[in-house]
Amino acid sequence: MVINIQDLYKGFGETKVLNGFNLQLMEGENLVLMGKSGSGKSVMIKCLVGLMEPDSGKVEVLGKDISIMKRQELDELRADIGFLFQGSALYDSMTVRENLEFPLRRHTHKFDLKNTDELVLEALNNVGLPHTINMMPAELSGGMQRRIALARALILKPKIILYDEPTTGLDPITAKEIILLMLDIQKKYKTSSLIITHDVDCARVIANRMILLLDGINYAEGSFEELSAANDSKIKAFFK
Amino acid sequence: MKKQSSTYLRLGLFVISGLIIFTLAIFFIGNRQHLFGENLKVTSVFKNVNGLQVGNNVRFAGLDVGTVKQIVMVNDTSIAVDMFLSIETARQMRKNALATINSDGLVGSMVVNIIPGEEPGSGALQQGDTLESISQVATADMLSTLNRTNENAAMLTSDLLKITNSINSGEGVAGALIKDDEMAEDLKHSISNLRQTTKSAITSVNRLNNLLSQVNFDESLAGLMFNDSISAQKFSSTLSNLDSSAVEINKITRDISDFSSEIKTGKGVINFMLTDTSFVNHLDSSLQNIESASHKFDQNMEALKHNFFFRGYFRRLERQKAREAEANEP
Amino acid sequence: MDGTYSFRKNLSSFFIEIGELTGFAGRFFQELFSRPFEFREFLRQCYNMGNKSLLLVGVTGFILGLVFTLQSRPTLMEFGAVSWMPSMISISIVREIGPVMIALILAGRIGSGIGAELGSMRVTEQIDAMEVSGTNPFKFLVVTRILATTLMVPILVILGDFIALSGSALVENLKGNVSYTLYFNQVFNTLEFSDLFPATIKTFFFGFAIGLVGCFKGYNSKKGTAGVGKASNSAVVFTSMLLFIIDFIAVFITDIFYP
Repeated sequence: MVINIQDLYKGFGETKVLNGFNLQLMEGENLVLMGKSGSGKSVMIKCLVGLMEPDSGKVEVLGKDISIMKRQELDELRADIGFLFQGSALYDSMTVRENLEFPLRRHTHKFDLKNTDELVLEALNNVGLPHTINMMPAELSGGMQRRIALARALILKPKIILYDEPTTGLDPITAKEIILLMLDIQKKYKTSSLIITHDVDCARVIANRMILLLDGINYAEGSFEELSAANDSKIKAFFK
Repeated sequence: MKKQSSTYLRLGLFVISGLIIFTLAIFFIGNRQHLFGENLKVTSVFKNVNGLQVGNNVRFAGLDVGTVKQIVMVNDTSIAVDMFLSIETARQMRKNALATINSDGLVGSMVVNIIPGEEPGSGALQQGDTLESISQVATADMLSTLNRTNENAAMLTSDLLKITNSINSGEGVAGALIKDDEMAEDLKHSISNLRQTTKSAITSVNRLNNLLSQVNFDESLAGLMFNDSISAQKFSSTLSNLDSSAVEINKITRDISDFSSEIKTGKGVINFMLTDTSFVNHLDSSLQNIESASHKFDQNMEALKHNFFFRGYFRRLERQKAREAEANEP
Repeated sequence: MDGTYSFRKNLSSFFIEIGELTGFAGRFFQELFSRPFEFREFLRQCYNMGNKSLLLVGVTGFILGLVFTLQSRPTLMEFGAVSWMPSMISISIVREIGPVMIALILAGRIGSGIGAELGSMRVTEQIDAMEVSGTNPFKFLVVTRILATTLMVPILVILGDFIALSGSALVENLKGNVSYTLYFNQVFNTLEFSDLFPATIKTFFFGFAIGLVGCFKGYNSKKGTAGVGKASNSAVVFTSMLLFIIDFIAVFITDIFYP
């Protein structure tokens, strides 16, 4: 078990977003978390990497409780987590190379600095875009940006990759390319993945196991086939 | 990497150019305040520093040679002013130089002026020397005095201007007096004479008229008169009076003609006449009186000559004249 | 009632903002002295703010000096005091107009730029991405930027002052037949350290204020593109106000030390 979330509560003022949410991610597993927008998926994933502090509950990543971690320890832990943001979140003011080098700057203990070029090229080859190395993010299409973002998430060879809506804002064909890329990478690096999405096609292709998030709790859990065949009207609403 | 190093190069140039300008500014300002380089400190004690401030310039013969470093009140009558002079210029100064505090222009800040001493041969200025001071009238006092003087001058000038203007336009008797007082005096004299004469001429003529009317219209009275010696004597005196009047009138007429020729040429008199119109009118009427009086007199005389009673008298008078003439011509 | 309520709400939100800004400034100093220091990013920001603002500052400064001199000429000529032009212009530019005008221009350029950049980085989760990548975004984005503005604004003001005085000298040279040597001689004859130093020290605070408010508004930007616009706009407004307050305090303090 690489991620263990128990009884997670998080609210913003009056609105309660997470109400005792539980999640376990096994090693080498592709877990898909589905939920409507505003249901607290992004909040949950941010609590996972320490971008947000939960109101209460336990968050363990790779066996360590992040709520009691110091900043430096947290940074070290984050090197083992790749994060693909919703809108790619490439740094606009930097070239593709600088974007990919960025995570390496603070984790030099893990790598020899002289290899950065090799690592950057390897990551770019993995996503099939080695020619874009000196381009600016604004010069790339949405799909290419997403792939670069994926390359950046992978460059530290993390044990866990968190995907926040990996296919949002992309056309179906590009979305499929991204999904296939994700599968390739999972096979290649044997990573565990937590995928947040509301894209059923994406879930169908990639999910080993699924959790449905509804009203701040894990409403249902199971494989894609089990859940899509369920009779519950609320579950059915997800698969329309 | 190449692009990055050119970026850093440009950044470096930018920063250094800013720092150079700042350093130069500090240098130029500091240079003026004699912060850098060797300085000679001298002191001078003044009674009144007239608002001198630390940092004011020190001048020697109009040349900026240093700045005021410190102003300390020693006691109630002396204030010590420390000055830093640049060593190159201070070398040229003597120990007996004098320091004064003046203002730099009318509203400028104060400066310490160092004036070379009178007697030559005094030693060169040394570190820590004290210069003699001369107190100067404060600018404020100077200005107030200047102001008063100015006001007086302005008053005088305006008065003078008024006088000049009135002289030029010959206004009033004053103008006439100033321009030509002798002539005006003459004129006045003549006029009063004329008045008197005219008056006496008129009375004489009136008396004559009365006499003649008695002669013409009352024969008995006339006969009585001629028989009566007193009456004849009286008549004779009247005639002689008449004669002298005529002489007088003649003289006056000459006077008037002189006077009128003067009027033609004399500028001052003309002005006098013009500004005194009543006088002119008077003069005119006097002249008319004189004219008419003399005319009447002539008529009367002619009538007298042809009169029966007086023919003998006139003949006797002529004979007497002829005898006299014979006696005079031997 | 409504008006009173909204006024009180505005007032309290204003004080909350001041408090948050102070906390932000405190965090800046705390992070400034802790390792590591993002030196390359700092240099990059210096270049972006310094070199790239130079043209703007140069053009406005030049025109400022030009116009200021042209406008003052008739009045000074009336008093027969045209020869005081270098003194007057240099004192007013170095002491007040140069620093304040240039700081306001830079608040418009740099302050709004930082507000918009950090705001959009916040909105597109780039700041989160940095955090996740193991880089402290506050150090990387905020500390470098505030430090860069604090150091670059004084240099820009010095250059701007110089360019403004050159513009003024040009007018005097063309219209008054005053040589550049005489002009700058008179300028340096008039200026005192008490003119130069307080004005220069004040520009460091101007620079700090521009960077601080820009970063504060951008870093705490609300979600969405409207949040970015608001961050950029309120950064300029707030900075401009702050600049005048700092200027007032600076002049006040200067007056105490150099009466």
